[in-house]
Amino acid sequence: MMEIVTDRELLKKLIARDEQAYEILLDEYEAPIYRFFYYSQGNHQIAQDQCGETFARFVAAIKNFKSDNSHSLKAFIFGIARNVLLETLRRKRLIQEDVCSLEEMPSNKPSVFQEVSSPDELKFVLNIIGRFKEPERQILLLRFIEGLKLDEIASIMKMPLNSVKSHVHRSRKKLCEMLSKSSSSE
Amino acid sequence: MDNKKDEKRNEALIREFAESSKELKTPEELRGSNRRYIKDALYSVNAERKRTPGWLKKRISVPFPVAAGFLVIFCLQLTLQFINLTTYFKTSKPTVSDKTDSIGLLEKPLQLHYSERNVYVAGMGFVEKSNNYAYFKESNYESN
Repeated sequence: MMEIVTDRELLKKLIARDEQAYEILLDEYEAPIYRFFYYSQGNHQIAQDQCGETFARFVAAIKNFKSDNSHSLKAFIFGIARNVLLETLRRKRLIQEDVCSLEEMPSNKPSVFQEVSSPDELKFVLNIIGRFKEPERQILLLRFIEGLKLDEIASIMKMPLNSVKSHVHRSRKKLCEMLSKSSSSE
Repeated sequence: MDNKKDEKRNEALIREFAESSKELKTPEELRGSNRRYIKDALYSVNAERKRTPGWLKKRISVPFPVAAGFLVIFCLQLTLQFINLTTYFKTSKPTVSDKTDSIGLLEKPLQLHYSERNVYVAGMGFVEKSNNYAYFKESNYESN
């Protein structure tokens, strides 16, 4: 309930194009959106561009957000992020490729792996996510990593709720199997 | 019982996995670039708003058949109105009367007559001028 109220207050300021409100928005959603893109494709450079594109589109689309609907601001921004992702995938014809086949673009800057405290863990996460195909990969990210509600995922994915439930069930089962296998092998 | 245990174990594994995935930190350069993207977007949205003309200058697009239809209706209306006006003026001249008198005979039509009265004083010129319009029955007029 508290989240909804805060969302509404933030929303008013965002519609009024208050720069401070956008600062709050970035603080709250920058990391989840970046994670969503990075884990979807495993490429930092592309994820960074898509992240910027998502926020730019958000600025233009915020006036269309209906505060009376049951979905949160989080679902709205993830909906935009998903559209950006699908457009990129369609453009680059990567839709059927695995995360593992993508490589970081050469850069002088430290890679994402060098920046995180435990690179092995990140590699492990990428490896696990890479074994999921679309749309289960997106559902996995939205449900198990970002913790979105089922109806929010349904609106983001533009899918019936029952399909989302079955995808969540399937991916949960698969994820548990993978995780328990890897934990037993350790 | 085993199912519950498995469920709990699975929950713990998923939670651990989610926590590991959140280890991925947002790079500093991303923070800068996102702010730039938002600033640019805000600037272009504001510029767009300024560029949008007021309601007086606002243009709307109308499909051609609708516009043509309206034009035809407007022209027809004008023509009909013009025809109506001319027939009104033609019929409103007091030359024809359908009234009948007490004996049942057709009344003579009323006729408009004009009279002018001028008073002229020698050496001074016209001191009074008056114009009159009056309707008379032809018979009355003749008798007067």
